Amino acid sequence: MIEVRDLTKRYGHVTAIDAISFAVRPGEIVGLLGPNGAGKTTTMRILTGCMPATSGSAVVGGYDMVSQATEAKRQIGYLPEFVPLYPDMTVPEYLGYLGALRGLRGNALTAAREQVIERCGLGEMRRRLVKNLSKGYQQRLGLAQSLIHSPSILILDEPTGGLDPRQTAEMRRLITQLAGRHTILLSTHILPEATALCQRVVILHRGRVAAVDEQEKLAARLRRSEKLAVRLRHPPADVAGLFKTIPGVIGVYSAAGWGQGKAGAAGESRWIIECELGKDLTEEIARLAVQRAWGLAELAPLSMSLEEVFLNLTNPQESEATR
Amino acid sequence: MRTLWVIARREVWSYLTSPVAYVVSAIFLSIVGFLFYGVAKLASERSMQWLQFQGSLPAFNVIQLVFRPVFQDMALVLVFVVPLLTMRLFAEERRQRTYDLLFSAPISIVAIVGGKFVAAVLIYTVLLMLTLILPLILGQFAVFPWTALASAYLGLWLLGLVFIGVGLFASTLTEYQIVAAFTGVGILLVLWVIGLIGQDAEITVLAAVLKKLSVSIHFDGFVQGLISTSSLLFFLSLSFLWLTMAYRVVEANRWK
Repeated sequence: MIEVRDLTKRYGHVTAIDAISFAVRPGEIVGLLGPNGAGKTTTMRILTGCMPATSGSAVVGGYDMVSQATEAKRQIGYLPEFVPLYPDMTVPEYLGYLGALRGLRGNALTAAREQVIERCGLGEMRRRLVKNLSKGYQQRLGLAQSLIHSPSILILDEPTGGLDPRQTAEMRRLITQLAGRHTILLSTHILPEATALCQRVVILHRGRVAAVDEQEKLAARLRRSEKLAVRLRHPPADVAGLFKTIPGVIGVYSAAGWGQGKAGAAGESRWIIECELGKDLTEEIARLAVQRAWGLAELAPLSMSLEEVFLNLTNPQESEATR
Repeated sequence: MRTLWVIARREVWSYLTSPVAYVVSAIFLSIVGFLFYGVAKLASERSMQWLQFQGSLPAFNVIQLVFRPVFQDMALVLVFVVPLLTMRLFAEERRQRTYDLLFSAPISIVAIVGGKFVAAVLIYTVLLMLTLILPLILGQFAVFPWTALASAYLGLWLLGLVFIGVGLFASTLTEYQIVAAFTGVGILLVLWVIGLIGQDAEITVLAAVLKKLSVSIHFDGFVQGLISTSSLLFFLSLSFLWLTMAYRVVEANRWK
């Protein structure tokens, strides 16, 4: 349904995305995963025809986004990262206008409008002005807007961004309900969200595709190891090699750029140690560091939410190596 | 074409539900009413004089006495009023990030720019029609050159198309409505001043060119009851020029 080939976008001298290629099959939910600034929004804006690419091609629903843009756009529903709303309209007025822009008229428009209001649970908010809706409802309205012309493809840019946990759960439930009826490409920087919603994940890193994987494999890969963050005051030169002598350690990555907590003192360094699944090597690592007087300042397990940091730290070669 | 009307309808609706259009109309109408009253009073004094000194004064001419000053002043008021009507059209789309809705929908940029232009023109036309009440009142008391009035209104309407084109262009440049309004007024003042230079300059090539390019001189022809093809084409092509420039800016916005 979506085929992206060697897509590149440059803003002046800055390359936002660099020759990325991936495909989304009909009926699939694919997650576009990566830290902020990885090129997720740029990719999506090109796929929806909001922005032309510098080079490369994007084929959506069988239509090329450059030569058959109008046809291609008919296939797509798009929820941008910042939900585009007209604050002075009511919910039905907003949806009616956007439906009309998509070519719906008369009874078909009314029917489509009522259907998405019902599907997205906006019935109670019917009389409110868009600007008076809560963030959660505004996000739902954004989703409703993308559904009004029953597109075969949905492109959702951070659909749960800025929502509280309850609203996030509701939004995820809505997206799960949409699966099957639509092919969905969604972006997120939250790993558990991708694993919860998507069948496959495309990981973007600094404008390049770092990995494309099925959800099970990705989850397995991530769960195959435990990760610990270590901060040392006086590390030896070959600290990575020394850590690797501990049985069960898979890899050691420098985390110099990861400035969590206090500013690093001179000579201080941070490391992320990847261990075999199910093994708690905290004690062994602590013992090693203390015995050799490396100035152990911090030792903590890396929780799931910090996986994102891990992704940011590992460059593509290393993440290939850990597969 | 159909989407053009969808956009135009929404923009008209937006004008009617926001206070800006009403406030601007109220200000415009009261200024015009005040100007009209002043000029009409002056005209009646002049005609009294004319009755007293029969023949020794130039002939009484309602076009010269009433229309020219009122319509020239009205045009100058429009320089400040029209950008206030158009400032929202694109700036607000940019600020609310709703451009993406328009760009991702299967509609052309021509329909977006055209729809917004048509909406502004409709509102402007209604505004002009409201001012018709003044000559209608005056018509009760005097023999009135209605065809000359129609010509003057046609001129004012065409002038409005140019002004709306400029205002629309100014609105595409920024996400701040106020900046759009000031930019629009600035461009229109320059257009207006070109005319004044053309009027006052001695006969040189430059002055002749400026005269041909002058919005106010072409407009003056309409006010005096002269509908010339060149003036008609001048106004239409000038508004088309500004719309094309607005189109280019909107298209360029896609690349950002």
